[in-house]
Amino acid sequence: MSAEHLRIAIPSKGALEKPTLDLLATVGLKVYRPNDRQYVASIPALPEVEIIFQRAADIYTKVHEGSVDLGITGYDVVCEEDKEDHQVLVVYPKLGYGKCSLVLAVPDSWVDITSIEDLAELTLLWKEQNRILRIVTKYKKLTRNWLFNHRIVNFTLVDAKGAMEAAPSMGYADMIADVTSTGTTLRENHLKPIVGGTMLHSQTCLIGNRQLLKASPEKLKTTQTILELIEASLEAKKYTSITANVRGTSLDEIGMKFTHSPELRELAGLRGPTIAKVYTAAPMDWYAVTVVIPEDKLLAAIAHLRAVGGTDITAFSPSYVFQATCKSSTALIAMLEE
Amino acid sequence: MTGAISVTRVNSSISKADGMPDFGTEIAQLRRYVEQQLLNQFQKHGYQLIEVPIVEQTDLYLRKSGEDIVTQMYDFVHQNRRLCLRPEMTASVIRAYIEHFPTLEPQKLCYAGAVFRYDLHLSYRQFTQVGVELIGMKSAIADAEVIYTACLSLDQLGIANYQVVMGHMGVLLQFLRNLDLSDRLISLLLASMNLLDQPNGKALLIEQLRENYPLAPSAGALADLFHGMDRTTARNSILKLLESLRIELNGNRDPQEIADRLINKLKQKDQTHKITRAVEFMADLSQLRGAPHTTLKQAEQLLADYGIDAQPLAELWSITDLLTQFGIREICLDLGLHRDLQYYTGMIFEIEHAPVGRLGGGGRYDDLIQTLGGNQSTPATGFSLQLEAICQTLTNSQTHTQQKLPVGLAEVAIALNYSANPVQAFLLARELDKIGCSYLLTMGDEPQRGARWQITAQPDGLFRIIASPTQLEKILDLPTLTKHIRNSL
Repeated sequence: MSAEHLRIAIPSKGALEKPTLDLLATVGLKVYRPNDRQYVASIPALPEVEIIFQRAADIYTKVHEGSVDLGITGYDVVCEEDKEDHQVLVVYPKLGYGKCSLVLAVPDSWVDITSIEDLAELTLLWKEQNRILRIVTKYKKLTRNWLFNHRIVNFTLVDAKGAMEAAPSMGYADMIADVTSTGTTLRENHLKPIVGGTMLHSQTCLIGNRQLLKASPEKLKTTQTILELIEASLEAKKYTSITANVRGTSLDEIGMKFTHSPELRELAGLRGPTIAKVYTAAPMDWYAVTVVIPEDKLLAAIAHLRAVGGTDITAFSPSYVFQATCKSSTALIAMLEE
Repeated sequence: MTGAISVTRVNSSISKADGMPDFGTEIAQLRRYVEQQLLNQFQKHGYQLIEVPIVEQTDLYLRKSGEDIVTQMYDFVHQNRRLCLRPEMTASVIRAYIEHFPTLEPQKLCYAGAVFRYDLHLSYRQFTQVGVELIGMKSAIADAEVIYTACLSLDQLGIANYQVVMGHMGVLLQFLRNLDLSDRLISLLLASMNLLDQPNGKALLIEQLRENYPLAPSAGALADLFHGMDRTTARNSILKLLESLRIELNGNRDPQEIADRLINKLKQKDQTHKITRAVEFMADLSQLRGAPHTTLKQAEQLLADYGIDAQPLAELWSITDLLTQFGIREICLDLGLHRDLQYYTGMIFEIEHAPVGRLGGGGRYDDLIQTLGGNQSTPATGFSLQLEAICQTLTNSQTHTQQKLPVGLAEVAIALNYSANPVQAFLLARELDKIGCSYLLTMGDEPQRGARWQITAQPDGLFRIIASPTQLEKILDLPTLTKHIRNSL
């Protein structure tokens, strides 16, 4: 193992393992793991990378202490574990999966509590009675800071023992603060989220150790390669590439059909259509028109192609869309220089 | 590929924790000097020194200090107990007072100590408060006394050009309570007081409240349903309704409490009118700032317009009168003055110094002792000065630095160079201690400002003594030298 191996911690077991491996495979960085019980693996496409499987909850700590260079974990964990020493950088903020929200939820039976202001008033009522609101949570820092920002102070945070959602009915807490993606678990436990009580929207993100990336140009370069692939691959999800055969007399005539009005801008490709002559057996003037358009404009673009006489229309999803520069890579350099 | 993961040690040196200050030797010496001067001054005024712990139970501050302080506390759980670093001194001093003087007799206490507030906007999260608490007296003279003590102690340090800004919590609190606003709303209003200093502040504040606080009732027609009902009937109807809907009220709360709060919510009228009135009054109040006489006249008019009891103004009249008699002229009244601690009930004040800002402040807090467990209502008033701000003021003023620094050295009678013969030097120092002569042990021969003699302990056991300013030089042994010094003093 070379000293300049870039170590990346990724979630092992739990809900994030499979989507993380899927993402890496999609961007062209398929992980090779000789067997499931091994907690180190490699990426054949990038031999300078070593993959280490960790519990998602521990990945922030691993990156912070510097035992790995990069890590993939939930943004909620990153915010909760943040040491405020700028040692850990969020290198790529939204990987597009593992989406959830950190919410405050109270028992269904609290019919008088719907909003955060109701909760605030309840804490003041209880303060008069020398009673303190007990909130069970694994997100102590985020919950405390959020409530403090809303000038709510008469509460205490309780450690989660086992199934947190059961705490209010078991009686060791009054309410909970936890992440939820669909709300099903809350409902099953007779809990309801408070209106205006969503403290954080989270999804999986890529984090890195500032000092290690700064110290090693090789590691930084590999990180930038990974960012290029992730960014271009996630960017590609937004676009579709369409090619159609259109009849016409010249390149310019066909070109006009796609650029004559401003409404066509979104249907005519990122910059404009690419047009090439089609060489046919019979002496007829056919041109191939290719446009790359936002995915949600697919049917509108097809309609337009048909309207101008297009036929044989094929649509592909690109694997990557590379822009002139890699935004997240530039952002990383800026963060390292701060 | 191996399975072993080695931990790379990223940090090899340890820096200080964020926001925690180190004080270099010069500043440290100045701080100690200033703190001592202040405490001496307080003690001359009959205040007795008290020391309280840095770690307190968090509950001490949850009871009455208010959201501004509580949200800034270093609050932690240790051995299953919720503790915090004290964010201010008064609550600690009062807790100690109740423990040590259970009969709650009048006391004058003074203190100095570090306090901690986790505020990202503050460059330092540890600072030092030096102050007094005057417990058991409810009179204008007590309030005037603490302000006078604060001013006098600044004068003694040579600080000039400060201004006493005085206000009164009673005016606003009384108005807001008369409006029958909820505690939550009062807290939100008080917290946004500073918005009113901005142009268009009134509109901004109303807008902010409307966004964050449901001013209008949510239930509409349902409210009418309960309008004519007395509380018990309404409560029983609600409980029956919930029962018929099979909503069980068993979530750690008293069903009656839930029903009562629900009725309150349903019955709540549109509060926009009340809020507008409160904000307008607050805006009018914050305009009242200036010379005492004029400002009080204007305030009397305003309170009469709103039909509010003018007792707080009478108190401010008396305090201002007394301060003028004490010779304090730089008084400014500010009826919009608001401090970040919520336990104040009467007069509040701050001492402002133009370039540095706030040097300290305080006020009357007549409910705190009972809230913290005292068995009867006990009035109290006090203030604290911020040591860092005062030292900043002193280091800013060059003249002071030259006159009074280095601390203590001005009174040094002897500069004693001990590097060549420490044993002999220490023996001499012991003799000097016995006769109460001040000295400074030095490593070199450079003359010390203000020292009457420069003495060097020589390797041969003798002392070379040079008198100032004659530069007359003598060589003496220890007994002769001691005798010589004793006779000369």
